[in-house]
Amino acid sequence: MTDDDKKLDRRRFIRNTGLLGLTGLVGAKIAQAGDVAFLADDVTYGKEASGAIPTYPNIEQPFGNGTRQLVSGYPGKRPMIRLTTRPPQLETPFSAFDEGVLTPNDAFYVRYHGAPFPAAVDANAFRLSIGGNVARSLTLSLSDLKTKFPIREIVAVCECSGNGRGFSQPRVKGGQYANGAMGNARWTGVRLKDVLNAAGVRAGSVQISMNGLDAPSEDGPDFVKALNMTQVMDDNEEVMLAFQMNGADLPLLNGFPLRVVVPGYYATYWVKHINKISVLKTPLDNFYMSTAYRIPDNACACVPPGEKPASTVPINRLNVRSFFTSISDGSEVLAGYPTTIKGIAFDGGSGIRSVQVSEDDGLNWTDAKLSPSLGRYSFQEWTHNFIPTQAGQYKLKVRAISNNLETQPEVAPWNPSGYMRNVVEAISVNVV
Amino acid sequence: MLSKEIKRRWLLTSALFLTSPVFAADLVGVKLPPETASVTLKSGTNVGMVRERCSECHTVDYIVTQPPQSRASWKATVDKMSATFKMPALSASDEDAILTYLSTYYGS
Repeated sequence: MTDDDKKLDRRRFIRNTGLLGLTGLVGAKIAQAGDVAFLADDVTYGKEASGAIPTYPNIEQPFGNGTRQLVSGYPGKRPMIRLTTRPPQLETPFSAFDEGVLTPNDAFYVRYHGAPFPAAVDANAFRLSIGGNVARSLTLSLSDLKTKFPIREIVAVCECSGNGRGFSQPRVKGGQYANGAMGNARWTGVRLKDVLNAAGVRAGSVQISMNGLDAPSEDGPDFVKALNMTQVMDDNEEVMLAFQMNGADLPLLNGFPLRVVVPGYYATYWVKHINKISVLKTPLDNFYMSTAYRIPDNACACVPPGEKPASTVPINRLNVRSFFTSISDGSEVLAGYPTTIKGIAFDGGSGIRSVQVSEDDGLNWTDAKLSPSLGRYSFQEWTHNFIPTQAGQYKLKVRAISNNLETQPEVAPWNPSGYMRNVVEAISVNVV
Repeated sequence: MLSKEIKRRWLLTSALFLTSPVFAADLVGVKLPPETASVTLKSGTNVGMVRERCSECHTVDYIVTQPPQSRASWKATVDKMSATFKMPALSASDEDAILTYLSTYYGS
């Protein structure tokens, strides 16, 4: 055995005995003294006892190399489109977005950066610590959070920075999602500002860092994100610590027992299983803020295809997007009959002003009807009455305009990471 | 008949034992569906070594779902695995074999 082989074995042993120094793990049930358990990869991600691995139906995403599987058996989840296994990345089957404007918890997408994710959390023992440049450090239980601070609720879209990356032309590296890496939920929790005020933010504080229970593989960088103090302390921004989603506890895979909610911002800031917040006097400089999750520093967050941006900024607010949900590319409808087409639209928090639909590939546009709004950060449902008189193929398009007068581009802008896709969506419908 | 002191000590000890980590609330960890057989690297020279080296931190679906890329592009990815994500160092010959495999079977 070479020295390298020995090192590899040692790493594997350390990894396989878990991160809390617990050894001799047998099966999925362990006793432990802390509030969270990381289990050996081969247990969490292991095979069934019989050794049999089920087969799952294939689905094809509509881009090259788009074969995926619809995988059942994730805790708290319906069959989901699996992008990766270890760590788990699960995309929402798009039909779920037509069930209602709130994305059911069992359909909500899942994304982790590192394989050691918290496979079990003791909600009673869980503590959130607030420290750094504060008058007093705090250690708060869930009960503290639920009883000592005003409870807030907000409906907000959580969209992955790379939602739609698989459609990039030219293609880019990264998680190859279609458009299912997003979801809308009613979040219940407390305002982060209220918790920070209890700790007493000292003068000279510029950011908070947010660290959750998930951990990196090997000695890689821990997933820690930062938000500017101005945003966190702004009542208008509604940054929250949420313990419920659509009226129920957060699913484990969506951050149980507590996650950050940053309405109007991309999901990279919505740290799951948040347990450590530090108030900082200088901006956080780590891989996940300084290198990853950065967009070209210009109005379109874009560069000519293949080029590198001259300068970048951290990804931040969602851009305006709209989708068909009741109908998709290749759908069939009857000629001479009214078909109600339904969809959604959203932006980074100014709210949706109007949605327009074209039945002739963008030549003519009609205003869609907006359903009652669940708030400026929510999916906005829209409907359009489609009454085609003649059979044939129709090119339908949808576009949204935000209250900020932001519009969607007809041609998708490009950036090297495939972030912030928001091109006008187009589908072909067969009228028979 | 045990003396009061011995009884007291026994009760204390057993109380500590019962509340010790060994008997604290057991957390039942979730099990996640494993990688399926159909998500597999394409057969080819050195595929076994590629799977071994590239499955330490994640499953191979991270690789097979990527769009086709040039050798230079795959090298940039492998370099990132080392530099940023602290993948154990590859020997020169292993790295060459991995890049040849990736650019042959997952190349543009």
